[in-house]
Amino acid sequence: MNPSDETRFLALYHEHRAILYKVAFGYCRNREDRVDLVQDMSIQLWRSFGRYDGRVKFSTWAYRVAMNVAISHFRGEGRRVRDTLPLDDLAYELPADDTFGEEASDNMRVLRHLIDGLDALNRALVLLYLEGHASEEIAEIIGISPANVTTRINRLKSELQRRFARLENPQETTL
Amino acid sequence: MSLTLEELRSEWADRSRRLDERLQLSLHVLRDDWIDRQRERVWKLGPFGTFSMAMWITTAVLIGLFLSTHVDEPELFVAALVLEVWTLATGIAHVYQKQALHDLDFGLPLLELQERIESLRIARIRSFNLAFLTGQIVWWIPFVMVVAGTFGENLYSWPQFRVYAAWNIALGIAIIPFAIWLSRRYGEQLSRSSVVRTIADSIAGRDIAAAQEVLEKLRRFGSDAI
Repeated sequence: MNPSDETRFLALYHEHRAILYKVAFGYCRNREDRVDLVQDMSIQLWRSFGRYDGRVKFSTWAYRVAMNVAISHFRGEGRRVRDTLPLDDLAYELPADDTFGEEASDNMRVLRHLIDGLDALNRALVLLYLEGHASEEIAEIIGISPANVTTRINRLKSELQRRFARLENPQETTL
Repeated sequence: MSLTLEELRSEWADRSRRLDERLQLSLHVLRDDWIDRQRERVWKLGPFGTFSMAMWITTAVLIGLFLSTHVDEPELFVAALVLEVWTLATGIAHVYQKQALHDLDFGLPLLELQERIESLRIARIRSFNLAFLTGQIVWWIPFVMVVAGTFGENLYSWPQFRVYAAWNIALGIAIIPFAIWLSRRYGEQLSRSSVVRTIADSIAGRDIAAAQEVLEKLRRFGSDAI
């Protein structure tokens, strides 16, 4: 990467790096794991930037990279992917910044619990929906049709509401 | 009271905004500290570890040297040739898989990349199984080569060794179906974290079945017919 690309990357990265924390929050409960995950995502972004051709928005591309890294960790492929990343003596300011999942209100704890019950791709859907993305953009990130996104989001809403109801009235589930 | 995803979405947005504001403060840390140290390191990283690569090349060269000095001894030559082919094939397969993982484009849509990763996982398990099972047949060849290289003794010229070698080959071949049967029959009773369990799951085909199931799930997820 030449110096001008590095400067460009740095500016884009700085503008969008909150994405990494939010995605990490969706895939890791443990703070230390989140730090590792955000590091892996950052390095993968840096390494993949040479392939970014601007056909999609940088944020869309960053979501793809971050979620692909997170899902690989989630599926247990993280170590192998990590083996191809230069992580030795990497120092980073992440721990200080990683407060997204720490200031947990009751609602956020409920959300955390609900997200934990989803598989990797449905987590991605919920996270993107919470971030306020339109179906078209979610479709572009995940690689499915917008209609499929809408159907799945509606299903997830109902499912999450059912789970929330069960959390509120646990005795109902035993009846 | 019932909480909806929309309500959570608005709380999430508040949090998101606060995080964005906080992160705006630390650009200088990135500029000064991180980029410079990553610049060189990323591109130096090869697909195959230096030590593994050195070991692999050294082994292949040593077997090659052995081959060149034992052309006139057909038994030793053929045995060493088999080992050389096995070493090269397993090494090339390993490099190919590492390279394929290294070259993955993480900027692809999630479904597309995850399908590629899963296909690579299946290829890796198959290649491990092949190397592990065929390894049962070739494991004794290095012993013959070391004896020949160190003491100048061709063990194949000993009638007893011919019988021993024939038994080894037969046993090696017989071990393949036996190992598969044993892994299928008893593999799941082993501790999930043990190395033996990992190997057993691999050669019993459980890992491949699990990876194929994930592939199928990914395809279903991408399908509009839901």
